[in-house]
Amino acid sequence: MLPHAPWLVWAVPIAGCLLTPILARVHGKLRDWFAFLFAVVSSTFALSMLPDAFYGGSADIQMPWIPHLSLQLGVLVDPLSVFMACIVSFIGALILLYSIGYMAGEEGLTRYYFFMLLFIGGMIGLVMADNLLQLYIFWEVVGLCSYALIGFWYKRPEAVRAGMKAFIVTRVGDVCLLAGILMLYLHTGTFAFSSIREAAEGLDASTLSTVALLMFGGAVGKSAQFPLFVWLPDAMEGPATVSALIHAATMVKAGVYLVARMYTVFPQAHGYLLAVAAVGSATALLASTMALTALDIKRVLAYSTISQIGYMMFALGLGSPGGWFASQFHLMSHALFKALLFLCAGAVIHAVGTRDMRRMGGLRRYMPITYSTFLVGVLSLSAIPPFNGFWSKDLILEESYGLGGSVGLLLFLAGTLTAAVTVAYSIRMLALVFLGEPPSHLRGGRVHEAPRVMTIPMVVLAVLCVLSGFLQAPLAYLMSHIFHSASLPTSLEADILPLSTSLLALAAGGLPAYLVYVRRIVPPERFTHGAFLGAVYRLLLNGYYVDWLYHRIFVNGVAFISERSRRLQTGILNFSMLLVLISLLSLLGLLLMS
Amino acid sequence: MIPLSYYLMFTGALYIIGMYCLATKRNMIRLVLGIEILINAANLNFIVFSAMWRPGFIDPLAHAIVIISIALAGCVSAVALTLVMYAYRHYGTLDIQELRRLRW
Amino acid sequence: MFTEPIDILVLFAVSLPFVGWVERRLHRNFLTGLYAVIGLALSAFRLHPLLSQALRSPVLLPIHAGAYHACLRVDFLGAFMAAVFLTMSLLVAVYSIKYMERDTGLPLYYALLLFMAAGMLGVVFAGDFFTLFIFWELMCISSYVLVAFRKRRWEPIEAGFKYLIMSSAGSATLLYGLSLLYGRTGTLNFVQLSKVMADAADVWGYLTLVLVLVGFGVKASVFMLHQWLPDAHPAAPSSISALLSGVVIKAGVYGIVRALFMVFPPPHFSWPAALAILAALTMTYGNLAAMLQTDIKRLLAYSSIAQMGYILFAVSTATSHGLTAGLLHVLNHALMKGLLFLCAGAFIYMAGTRKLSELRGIGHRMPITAITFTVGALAISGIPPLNGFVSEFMIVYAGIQAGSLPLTGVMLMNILLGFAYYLRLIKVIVWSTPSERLDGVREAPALMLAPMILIALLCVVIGVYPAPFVEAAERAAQAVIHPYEA
Repeated sequence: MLPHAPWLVWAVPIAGCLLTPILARVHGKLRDWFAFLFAVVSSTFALSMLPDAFYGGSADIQMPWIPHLSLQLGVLVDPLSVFMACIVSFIGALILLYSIGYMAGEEGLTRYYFFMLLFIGGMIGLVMADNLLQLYIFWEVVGLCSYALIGFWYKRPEAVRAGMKAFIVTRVGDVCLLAGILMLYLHTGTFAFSSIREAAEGLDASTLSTVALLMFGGAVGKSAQFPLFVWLPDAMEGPATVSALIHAATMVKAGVYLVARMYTVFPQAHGYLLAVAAVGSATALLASTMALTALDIKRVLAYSTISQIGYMMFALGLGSPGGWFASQFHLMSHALFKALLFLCAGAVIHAVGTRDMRRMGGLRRYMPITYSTFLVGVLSLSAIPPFNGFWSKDLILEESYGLGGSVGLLLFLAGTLTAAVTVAYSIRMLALVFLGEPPSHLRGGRVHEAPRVMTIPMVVLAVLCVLSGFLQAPLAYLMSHIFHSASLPTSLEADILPLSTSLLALAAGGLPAYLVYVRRIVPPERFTHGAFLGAVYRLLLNGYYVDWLYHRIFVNGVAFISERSRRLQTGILNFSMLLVLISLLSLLGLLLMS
Repeated sequence: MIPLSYYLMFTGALYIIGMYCLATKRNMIRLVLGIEILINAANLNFIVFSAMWRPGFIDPLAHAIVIISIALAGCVSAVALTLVMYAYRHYGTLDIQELRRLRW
Repeated sequence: MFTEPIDILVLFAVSLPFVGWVERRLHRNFLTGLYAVIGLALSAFRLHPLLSQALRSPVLLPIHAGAYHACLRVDFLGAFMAAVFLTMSLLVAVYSIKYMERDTGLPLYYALLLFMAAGMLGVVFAGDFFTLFIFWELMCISSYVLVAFRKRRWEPIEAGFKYLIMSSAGSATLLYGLSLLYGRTGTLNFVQLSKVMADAADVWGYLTLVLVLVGFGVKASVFMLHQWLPDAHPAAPSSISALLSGVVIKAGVYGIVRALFMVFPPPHFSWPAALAILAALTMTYGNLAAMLQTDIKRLLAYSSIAQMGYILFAVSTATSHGLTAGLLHVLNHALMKGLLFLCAGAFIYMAGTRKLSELRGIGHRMPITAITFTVGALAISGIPPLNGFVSEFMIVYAGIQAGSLPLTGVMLMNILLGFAYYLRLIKVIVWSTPSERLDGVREAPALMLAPMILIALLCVVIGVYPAPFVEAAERAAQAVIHPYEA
């Protein structure tokens, strides 16, 4: 471990973000490449912590911050935090390299790099935090960066609105998280993970459940699970790099990290685990169905992200170390292939000028590198062996099957059904964008491959997607230090039933999609018209009308109440004085009664 | 001797009258008078209490407070009446209910 | 005579007209402003030794041999509040030099500013209700005239008159309550009262409590006593709005804290529950009414009502921790809301309008102002690592600790509501394209920028390193909860 690595790994990007305006004054390119450099330095620090964590070393270093609340500033070096830090910093560095090409020529790049670096620093700070309040502070900071970056192209009102929506919806979750953290502090007297573990022994089950559920509320918001998922599809208004970094690889994983961390800190009540698993599996299934009908390439990927994170949550909800490990393994796979898919999508959007898949097609011949890396991503997402998605997703399904009982079976079925739908929408996306004949407006050399600075990160990620699946054993060894007694699965058990069921599901989902979208034996439009199918289509297209419902209740509802409360201020002084008198009498009454 | 309770009822009534005036009267100058009535209720209370400690002893603290309070009330009235004057210039009326441009 | 800071301010205020005469002879328009700034700076400089003295034990300055228990008693709560008030007044005075340059009658303005500051200092330094009332009225009367300062327009006059009537009615109610207090105990001295009132918790005691609470509450804009605020704060010149929202309403909170903790102590008088409900109503109403506002200053004014609700909620827990959180939020809100009003003033000064629809995108023409404005808006929404987060989470914790879970839930919901309209504000000011109407707008002048940048930096500093400020707030809270311990 390099000296001061646990602090520098997140302090360096934050220092970098503060330097960005100054570097920008010198030259724009200097600022861009320095941003990449800062991220590389940060990943170096992160990777340097890996060997120590691998052999079971862990450290908890603190500095005093608010003595009045006995609050310290600290970093925790343990397998989970180092694992997350490596993922965030490494993928962050790759995406910053890609940004140099993707965002070239845009205005406001100082603001872009400022918030990207602040985000990377904040996210790493979040995972390295050794106490809940510090985690919460970084949690909000990354929310702020997400808001600023989604609304990067502020000249588009939709982008600004999407940013606000993201921040407000996630803040609903954040408020629950804060309540949970403070309630835990009330009962244990500490924010630090290590101390909570001891103090939690003395707490009764209902308190622990309440706290855990409140904190899960925060995770639901940040990780875009049901019912707080409505912000993520709209967040696609931001640049593709932002979507890749924040909304695929890292920030949305913060909720998963939180639930995983809580698992290691205090015992989890059965009801709470059930809730987590239920939310996760329901989200996974619902989101995958919504991805089937989306017309915007990034929206498909957004729903896909929601769905895959659902898998991670549901794995955590299984309540076993094996399930926990499966979720972290899938977190790594997903970070890699989803970032890859978003970067490819960015390259496509950059070349074609639109996000609408109906205006794309046949790009395979114009963008071969993008096509092949995208193909790798899609195969990983669909969990086709030997790509990484297969190993991790099947581990999850295996663990849920292994849980047994009606709950385990139900979860397993939901998981396999989701896998089937996942293959379907993946093939649909691949076919609509890259296969078939290109539309007329794209022919004749109008579309070009992405520059090297963009394709290099894509290729790197693609290679990792192939290789990372085989890292299960070392990863299991790394993570086993957290669970001192249990041992974690180092490879997939070739249990016949779950394996064959999942492969069958892949075929069941893949074959129809292949026939419809690639072979075109049935035009896709057949599925969108007609009384029943049309209604289903509209239901899925509108996200099960959840967003519409929220808009009616929260936006229109609050506006209605607000309009009514405004009328209290009539502008007539006599009325105001009457209110004073009434308040005097009612206060007197209130006080005398109590 | 007049019992203390009579005085307290009187000042209480004055306070209520003052509040009633502020809550119902429309003429701005009447509102200023209402403020005066309120302050006088409090002043009277002080004077009354100052005599209630021991027979023959009047507590000077209360009287000091009252004198200052009267002076302050005078300042407030001065400012208030100046504002009434400007309000008349802007709105052309002394009816407080006409001054409703600021609402909601 | 009345402690050096107040003396200096009064001296400068009284001598200001002469400077005004000199200014007219020399045809400069910043001399009175400069004089006021010097006075405030000097006063702040002399506050410092008082602060460190008060940290150890309350500084007692009897007025006229203390024969009537009238005195100035500077304990750490008073010193803490005084520091907040003076800092904001100083920054606003610097800002006013440029902001008010187009107005006439500037000697009056600065004299009133100094008197208002002196009044506020006197309120928090007072050791008994008599002294407090005198300085209270000094502060109030100065603020009445300052609100109605631009008398040639109808709005300040209407707002000023309504403010005057309501605030005077409040002061009269306060005085009535004080008379009952005097009648009960024979003294108005805080320390004496705190010893005597403990066993006076009957109908008359509660009546006195309500009268005093309403009296201070009108100034602190609690629900139903707040109707003057949405009119007065927008109508005043923006520098004064910053002071009104930032510090004058805090004087009301100070009065409530002082009265409720020292004179009507919590174990004997059961006011926590009622105050908590009142606070919840205040914050909810303030946030809801702010949602749909179209005038930037009116929106900020309603937000102030809501923030007062947060502070009173913290106070209503009647615990040391709650009071610490509330006092810290007093400091933070003074900074944040002051900053927001100063920025709004800069926008209005440059663009000539208060309507949000016309200020759309002005952030692009005035980038530094926009950045400080965003810092202020994010701070007040409770985003770490800014100062608003620290006090808001401490208030939520105080609520949870006191066990009032439903009302804490209300507070959390209000944080979300407030957040929504502040994001909307940021969207309009920063994330929009400016219209042609704003073509001639340039960045605000340096004298206006300097206070804004300073306050924004303070917001960041307090957010990142809150320890000394939290500790100061805690000492201030201890000073009023345990007034006998030195």
